[in-house]
Amino acid sequence: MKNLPLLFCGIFFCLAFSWTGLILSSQLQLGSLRPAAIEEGELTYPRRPTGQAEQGKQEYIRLGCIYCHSQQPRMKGFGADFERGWGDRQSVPRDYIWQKRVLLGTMRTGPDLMNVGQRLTSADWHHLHLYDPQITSPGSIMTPFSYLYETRRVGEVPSADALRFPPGYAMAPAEGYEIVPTDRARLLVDYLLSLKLDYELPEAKFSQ
Amino acid sequence: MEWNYCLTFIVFLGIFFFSSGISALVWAVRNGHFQKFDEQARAIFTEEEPEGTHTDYFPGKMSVNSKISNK
Amino acid sequence: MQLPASSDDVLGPLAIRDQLSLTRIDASLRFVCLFFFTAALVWLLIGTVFALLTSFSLHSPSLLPCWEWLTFGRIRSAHLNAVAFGWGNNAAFAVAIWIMARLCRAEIRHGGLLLIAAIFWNIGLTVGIFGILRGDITSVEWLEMPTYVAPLLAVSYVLIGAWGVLAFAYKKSEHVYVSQWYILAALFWFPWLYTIVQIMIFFEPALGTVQAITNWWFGHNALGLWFTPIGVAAAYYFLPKVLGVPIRSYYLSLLGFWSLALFYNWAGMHHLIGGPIPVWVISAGTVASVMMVIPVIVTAINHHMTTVGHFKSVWQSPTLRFVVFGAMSYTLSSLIGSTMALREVSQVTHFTHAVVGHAHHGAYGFFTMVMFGSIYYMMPRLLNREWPSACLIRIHFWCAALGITLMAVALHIGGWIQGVEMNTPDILFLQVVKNTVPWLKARSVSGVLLASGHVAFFVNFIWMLCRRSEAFAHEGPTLIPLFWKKEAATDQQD
Ligand code: HEC
Repeated sequence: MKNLPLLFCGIFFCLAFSWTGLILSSQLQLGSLRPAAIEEGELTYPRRPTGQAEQGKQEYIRLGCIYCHSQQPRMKGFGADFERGWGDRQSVPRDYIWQKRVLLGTMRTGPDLMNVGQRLTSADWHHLHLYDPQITSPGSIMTPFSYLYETRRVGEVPSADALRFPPGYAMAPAEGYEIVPTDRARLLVDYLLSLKLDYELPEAKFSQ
Repeated sequence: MEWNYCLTFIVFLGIFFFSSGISALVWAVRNGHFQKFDEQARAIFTEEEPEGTHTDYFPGKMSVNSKISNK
Repeated sequence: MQLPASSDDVLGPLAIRDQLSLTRIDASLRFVCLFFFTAALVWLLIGTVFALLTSFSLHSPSLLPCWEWLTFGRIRSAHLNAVAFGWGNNAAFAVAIWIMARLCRAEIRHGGLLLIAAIFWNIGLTVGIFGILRGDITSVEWLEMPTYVAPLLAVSYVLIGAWGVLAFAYKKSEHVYVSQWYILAALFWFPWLYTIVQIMIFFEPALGTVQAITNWWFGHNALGLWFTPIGVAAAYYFLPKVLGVPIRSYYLSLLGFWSLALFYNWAGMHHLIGGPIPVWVISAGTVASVMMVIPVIVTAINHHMTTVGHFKSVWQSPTLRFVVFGAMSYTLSSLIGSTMALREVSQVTHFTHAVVGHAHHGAYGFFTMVMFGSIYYMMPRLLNREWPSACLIRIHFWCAALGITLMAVALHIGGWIQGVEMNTPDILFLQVVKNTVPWLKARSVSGVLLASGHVAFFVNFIWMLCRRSEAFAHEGPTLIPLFWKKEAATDQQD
């Protein structure tokens, strides 16, 4: 093993082999996936995400939510993802075809979020949770994202989307002030609400 | 893409890979790359740091320890 | 010690083809290696600060002020990139090129260019980590640094790696040693991996979950095909070197190298078990992970059987304390890793802190410990100067060894419990979260230990750099006596 060209070929082959085997072949297998309908003539899924959800996703990326949250419910019977309501079915490659950046995640310090828009439908809940997770989930270790909210003096009429804190909340704003989400917080919540696994695909029916 | 197709693809790739590996090995043996192969384990020793001598101690401890030799 | 500008002056043109003395090779690398090590240590400290912030904010989320740049995902990623590509890469570059040059018996020429590449690597890294903190983080694991620094990093890596490859191409030694294969392979693999994933994830994104496959192909290979080979190469060099005995079986090392090259590539897919990718990809990953037992056992036999019977010598050498600890962690963490790649085990450990514990076990318990050991060996030879304090070395060793053991144990057990509870739907998720907190606190304690070790190391390092060498001539450094005396004598003549 002294010969540089020979060593080089071996080294090169090993990497090229795994790249072809893992990446190129899965690209060949999955690369032509398109939205599909369960039955001829019905709506095809997955739907394209809305512009707001896409912008919200950028916030999700910039805030690093992925380091505590996955987006890949596993099949029924493998783990308790199904029982915990993280998805009525397992997610499959076709679910991700519109995503420019795939955020599967590998950590579940918090719950899986692939289906969170179906599970927690209230924007108010999400805003309160993001502002201070202790309000909605006492004892949570999710970090607060209160910098996505701003404190304002209440105008003539209170803002419609001002956070409605539970009575007795210690850090509630002073009298005459309100806390409202910034655009970033609104987009982020739009994104969270858009995360739904509420459709079936030919290869993935509910309870699978 | 059919899954069978991928399988065949990988199998052929594997065959190709292993045969080139084996031929490289044969080539290396023929060209004497494995002669005195075990000798090469001694390539790390030189006059300055010869075999049979410890070359690292806690600071200031060398004079005591350098007497301990290897079996 | 004064060195002539070029070897020709002293030895005459004929002698150039001859093998160079180690002293001369070390000297040719002095500035570059010192730069790499200083940068590595600074990054290690920065990474440690981010690590502590991350660890504490995970169990006490309201501890840190709610500033955007202190966002959990960002400081966590700043930590990862600072320790992996700041500490890990800088240390690995120096160790790899130094071992390569010594084994090739060739001095490194035009070290200035290498130094420039090294500076650019660190500039790229600084910009990258700053980018993570200000929000340009990509949220792709192991590739968090913003895409605008990727080309700079790739180019400077190639320039640095080229020196190792060139040293091999123009080697003057007759023999080739196993460490050289590993280093050569690692220097080729990393830039390929990095370039391919940059293209397939950011510049020309692959469709859907193929990105995830590419991501974990890289993520696992960054450890397996870059840090691991360098760590193994260093262990293969320093273990027999310090003990003065050749390694147990040279043939086995050949088997170890090629089986690692073949299997490690495929193993990364176990990070996606149960995920939305083709099942055969996952199976391939699991099979490869289990096959990794072969190189691991082979390397373990070689490393541990070389050490057996020399434990006293190991204890008396700062280098070997660290390197042997690293080699043992390599065996252990790799075997645990192969187990965690099994479907049944992964069902529990996947998505939990056990994976984090495993990553630290490998990256710190093995790689970082081996790098610490290597630095303890190289610095006296680069500077011709003794380490100033044996006490600080001991503090460093005990803090690091106890710290990483505590962290690995806490996160493996805590993660396992977390996984079992998460798979039991009767237990509320919030309760699962609360039950992890004591283990996360234990991890913070281990982090404080590790940080203390790093500070001790850093103090010793800086002290050594600033020290005047003459003061130690009579004590003799950790170098070989005969060699040292010769050097000292020439010094006095000058
Ligand atoms: C430090 C880890 C961590 C980070 C970072 C994190 N979360 Fe969480 N998240 C948790 C934990 C733990 C829970 C469960 C307890 C709770 O509800 O707060 C959770 C719960 C949630 C839930 C409720 C899910 C459910 O089913 O109850 C949502 C929605 C959520 N997080 C969104 C986000 C978003 C959006 C971000 C990024 C801005 C984020 N999280 C960042 C840890 C984290």
